[in-house]
Amino acid sequence: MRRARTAFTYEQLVALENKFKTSRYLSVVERLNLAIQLQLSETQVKIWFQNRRTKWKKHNPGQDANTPQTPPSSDETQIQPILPANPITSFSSLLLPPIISPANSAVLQGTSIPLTLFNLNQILMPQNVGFN
Amino acid sequence: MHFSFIFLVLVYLTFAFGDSLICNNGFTVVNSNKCLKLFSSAVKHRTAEANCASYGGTLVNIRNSIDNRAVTQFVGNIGLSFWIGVYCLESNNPSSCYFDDDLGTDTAFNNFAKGFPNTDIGGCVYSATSGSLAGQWISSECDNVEMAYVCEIPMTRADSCAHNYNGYCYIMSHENSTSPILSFNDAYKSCQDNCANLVSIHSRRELSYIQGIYSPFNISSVTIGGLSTAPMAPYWSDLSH
Repeated sequence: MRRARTAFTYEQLVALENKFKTSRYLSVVERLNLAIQLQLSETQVKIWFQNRRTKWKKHNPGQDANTPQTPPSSDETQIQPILPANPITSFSSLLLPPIISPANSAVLQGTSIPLTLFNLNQILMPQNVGFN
Repeated sequence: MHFSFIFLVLVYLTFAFGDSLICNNGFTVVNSNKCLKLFSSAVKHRTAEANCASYGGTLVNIRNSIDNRAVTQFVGNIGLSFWIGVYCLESNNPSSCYFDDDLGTDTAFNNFAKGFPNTDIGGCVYSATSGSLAGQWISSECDNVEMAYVCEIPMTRADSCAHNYNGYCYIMSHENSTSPILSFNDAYKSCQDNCANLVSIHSRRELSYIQGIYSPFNISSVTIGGLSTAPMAPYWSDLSH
């Protein structure tokens, strides 16, 4: 029995190659994850990695397949997403009864300090985000 | 000391009884209670989050099995896996997962596949839409994986306002005033003259929305309707909580 040869899309090959750079052997869970992400079967992913390791060994005689391909660079520390801590999303937990009425505008400036929202978008927002 | 800033007006829209809620900005009503939009181009998790924030939204939050089924069907025709608004800290402990809507983790609904969450893989989470795992949640690394994603914003009410969000209308002073830069007192009065208030901010999403509408402009600070009589004692000038 001979299986039809799989034609991977460009995007699938890029993702497979990227994964191979970081890990030349996949655990069962990693293989499952990758298969789901790329809309491939686990068998397709498994065979691709087997073939890729064979190709790698031909180009790297004498090296063990477990050796990292490139040493992890200190410049590329993994940036995990910022945890959504429970921010104070309203002032209610800090609210004290206002000692003045906002309607009495003559008093506002003398006894209260206005708060300002600084536009942090330009600092925090990643560059070139696609706004669809 | 004289404060002189662009200010932001918040108008409370008046509604007739029975006005129905809608989705704007190209979002679609799903399950009668969610405004969703699918972005089928694959991106890293952080990029997906930032793009959702630009609409005043987050990655989609799935809070019950009905939502889960509705969202899966919403995406399912295309067969893409997609990022969802969940981040997990501990393997095999769904209660360690945070939802992007900041509504807490206790007794939260989850639909993780068997063996997940698995934070050895990564803290980010996606939903599969095809195969035996359709509708189930799976852990993923955040930085080396690109995926389609679904954004969620609040529903709002139909209105001609350009910045209509969550039932409120936002007007930037430089769009609607001959004097966009005013002292706090004058900004406050200008809002009152328009049957409005200086803005108060009540959620992370609302903050993202406000930052989003200012992002095209080179404006570094905006007066809002917050006041403080002492450190750690702020209150809103519209007396909301």
